Amino acid sequence: MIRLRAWIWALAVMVLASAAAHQYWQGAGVQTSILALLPPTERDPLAEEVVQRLETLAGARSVFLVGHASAERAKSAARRFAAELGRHDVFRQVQAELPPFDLPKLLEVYAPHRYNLLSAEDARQLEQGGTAALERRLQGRLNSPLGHGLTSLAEDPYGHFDGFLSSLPLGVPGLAIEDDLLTVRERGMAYVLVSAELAGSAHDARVQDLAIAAISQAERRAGDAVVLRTGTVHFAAAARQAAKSDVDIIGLGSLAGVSVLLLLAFGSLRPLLLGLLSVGVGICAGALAVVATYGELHLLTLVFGASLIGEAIDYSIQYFAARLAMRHRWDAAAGLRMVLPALTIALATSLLGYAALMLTGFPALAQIAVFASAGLSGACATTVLLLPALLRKPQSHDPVRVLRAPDAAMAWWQRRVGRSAAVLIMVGLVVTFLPGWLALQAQDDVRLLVSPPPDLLQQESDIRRLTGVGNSSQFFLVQAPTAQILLEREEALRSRLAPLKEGGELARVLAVSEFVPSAGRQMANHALLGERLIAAEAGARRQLSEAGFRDEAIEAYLLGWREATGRVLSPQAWLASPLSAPFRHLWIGESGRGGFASIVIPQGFRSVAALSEAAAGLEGVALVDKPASVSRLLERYRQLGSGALLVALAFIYGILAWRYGWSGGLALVAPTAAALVCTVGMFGYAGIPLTFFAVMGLMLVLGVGMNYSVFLHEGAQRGGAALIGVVLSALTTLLSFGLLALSSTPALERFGLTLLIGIGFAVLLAPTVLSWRALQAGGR
Amino acid sequence: MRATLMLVLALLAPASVAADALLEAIGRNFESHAVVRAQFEQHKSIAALKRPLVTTGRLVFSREQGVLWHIDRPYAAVYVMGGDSVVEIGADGMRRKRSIAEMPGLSHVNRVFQALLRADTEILAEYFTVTARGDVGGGWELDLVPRQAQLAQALKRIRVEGGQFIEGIHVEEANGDAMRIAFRGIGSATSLGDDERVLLEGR
Repeated sequence: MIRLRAWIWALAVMVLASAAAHQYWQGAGVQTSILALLPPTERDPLAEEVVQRLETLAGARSVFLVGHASAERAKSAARRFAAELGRHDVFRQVQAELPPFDLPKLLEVYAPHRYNLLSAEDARQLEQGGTAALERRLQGRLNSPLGHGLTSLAEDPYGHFDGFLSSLPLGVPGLAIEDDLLTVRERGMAYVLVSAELAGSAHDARVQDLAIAAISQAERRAGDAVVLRTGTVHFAAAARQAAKSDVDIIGLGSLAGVSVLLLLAFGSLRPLLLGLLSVGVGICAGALAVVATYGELHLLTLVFGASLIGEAIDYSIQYFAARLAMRHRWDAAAGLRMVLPALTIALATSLLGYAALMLTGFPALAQIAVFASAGLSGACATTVLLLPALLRKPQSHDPVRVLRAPDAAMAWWQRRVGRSAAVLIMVGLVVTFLPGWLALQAQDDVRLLVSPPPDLLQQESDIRRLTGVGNSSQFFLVQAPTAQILLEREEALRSRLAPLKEGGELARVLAVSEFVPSAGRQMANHALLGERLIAAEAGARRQLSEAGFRDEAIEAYLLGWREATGRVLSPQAWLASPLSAPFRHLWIGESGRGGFASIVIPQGFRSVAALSEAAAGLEGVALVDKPASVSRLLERYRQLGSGALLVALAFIYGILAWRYGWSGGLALVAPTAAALVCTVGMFGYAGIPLTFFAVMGLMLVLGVGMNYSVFLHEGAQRGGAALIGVVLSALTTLLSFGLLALSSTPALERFGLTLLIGIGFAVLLAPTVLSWRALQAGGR
Repeated sequence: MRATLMLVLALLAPASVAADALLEAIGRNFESHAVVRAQFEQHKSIAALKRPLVTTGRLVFSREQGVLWHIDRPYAAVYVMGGDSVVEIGADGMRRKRSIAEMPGLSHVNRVFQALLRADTEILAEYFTVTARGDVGGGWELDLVPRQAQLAQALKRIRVEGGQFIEGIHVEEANGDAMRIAFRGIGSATSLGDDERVLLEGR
């Protein structure tokens, strides 16, 4: 029977292993995107979709500033840098020099509508100023030594059209165009902007490697110039690198620690190898389950998976402990019968704990739960099905020596530590840590999710300061029933933002309505020009004539205005022109629910609160603030998680009370409950704020901690061997999660720290179950 | 055949050496003056206008800080031209600033204009094919033809003439319009006056 089961499972393991090997060689995708970690954060599904689209769009873009004390050296270095990047296929497009300014194309789109187009400043001037201001304007345009801008004198004598064209946000504010390069100077350094677009996803490991290699080659070509960089690919590559070293440290550390512990406890190689076999099967099963469910592994899952070693080894440890306890009377089948109830309860509570993670709706936690559930089931199945066939001989070493100390320790506890002493210990600890708990603070910052290298953060903030170019995770989503109303709502929003811009709190606003004013605005402009300039009493004819314009030029200018009546530039016409290519992402168009939508991107702003205040009360306008949404989400889930923890505690108590009686259940739950209080108290004393991930860690502490109480209580008759089993289990788990606390990802670090402290307390308090004589007598 | 070739080369070589030397001499000469003041008279012939447009005024050129372009007639105004912006100050004190450095297509205008005033052949050579004639003592002439097709769409050629200082600029636009600026009463100084400094630094 044992043999048959073993053969069947061995076959299954071989299939599992070859499938895992296949996946490994095929290179299953590793996901690094932060967005993939989170459930939808926006109430409006359109906003959620736009956030994703912008993230993909912006994610492919890298921005570099090539700097040198000498402007000329900076420029030539930037050109060499861009040329080298352009040679690599991983970049679809690299731009240092601006494309030639295509005035004919600009005029082709705008010139037919020139009487309908006014810059905001010119419109204000026309409304306020009288004839004298127009006269000065005309004279300035005629006499300026610098010529007359982008338009001809005959077509645009007053320069209103030139004013509109110059107000288009075609350049980057703050960046001067020198030798067709975007340049900025600060503290004796000149910087040149180079932008590059990836040919693939910034979260694709292969793309990351190629891009980073190309960039470092290009950096060498830039010589002694400084190269500042920002862009998703840099952060994603850094995150992947950090996770890789996390996996190495946690994986190797756990393996080494577990090996040493098993060798020390059981004194031979066979338990060690069999233990590692069960863990290996578990890890393969976990990884395969995740890839089969999600198609890819998230970075967090990978790191967490490495720490699962310490938990997966527990099942075989229980089995080895039973072998230790039975000494020379060891019989594989009997031994299995002996540990099976404990193993089943342990697996069930763990699965329950991870199922709770799955219910949170966090994709990342759900993935971790899938990994852990499949992994633990695989390890447990291997222990139950395969190990009995491979471990038939009794322990060869004399186990008496190994057991002497634990036996004595257990006997001492049962004799000396009575029920009241146990209660006193727990109450004392709870009272000690209660003030810490009360001082506990919460943290829901989005930075919990990532901790980019400070060096990259510094470069990003330098680039943002110098260029105003930054992330676009905060923007306005504008919606309206028609395209024209949409443009009008954008204009209403922009006029609310104008004071911020004038006050220097906002560098610029990107919006389609800057390029295409609404039909209403265009007609108002046309009427304004007519009233203040073209109309007979307004005096354009007289002014132009006095300035020396030929009669036919004057007539043509005045007639042009009449002919332009109602000739409105439409957003479709603008979108059809190549001019709009860099800005097309702003226009979502028909949003699929009978309306139109667009986004308005504020750049170089100081405060999100000011933006939100400015837009307050505008119809169809919503500020989408991804970081704030994420923080709100984390806060909500932290609160939900804390509530769920209490519910789970009550639920577990109910189950135990049903099996062990009211006071017996209390005795078993008390150590873990006290451990939870001590853990949050410790956090409070240490000034470590409580996070959603710490709450999830507490949930697992509850699951794992209960195991120790149950193991110890169920194994009490087996004496020291049970203690060895529990202590070994706890040590391996502490080792793995302790190493997880060293993770460079803040979420995992906090998760690991919680487990380290929580399980530490739980295992220290678990022996209190031995003090309940009523329980010892009453149970089974 | 070979002898003819040698002869041609011998004849050509000194001429081009002389041209380079002249450009260098002009540049050196301008470098030596921190501040230059002059009167100017600007004539524009524009197709849309019946008669040429005449503008007169004064110019203050600071090697370090930029250009003040005072227009006296037909109306009073000052253009303050710095590195990255041009501010127009009307007779009523109203200022209009134009950050042309950020504007594609216009960013070069200010740069080229200032390079013309100081005959900065290095910058001019980025935009134009420069031909030089004459010498610093007896008078010289620079002929500028746009290098790029894009610039050539708007501009046909520019001629700059001068001796110790720059004396005239002739601009021919592609559409037939033309501008001629003549400088008189040229003198150099070592520093700016206080009011001039206020204008240039206050931009």
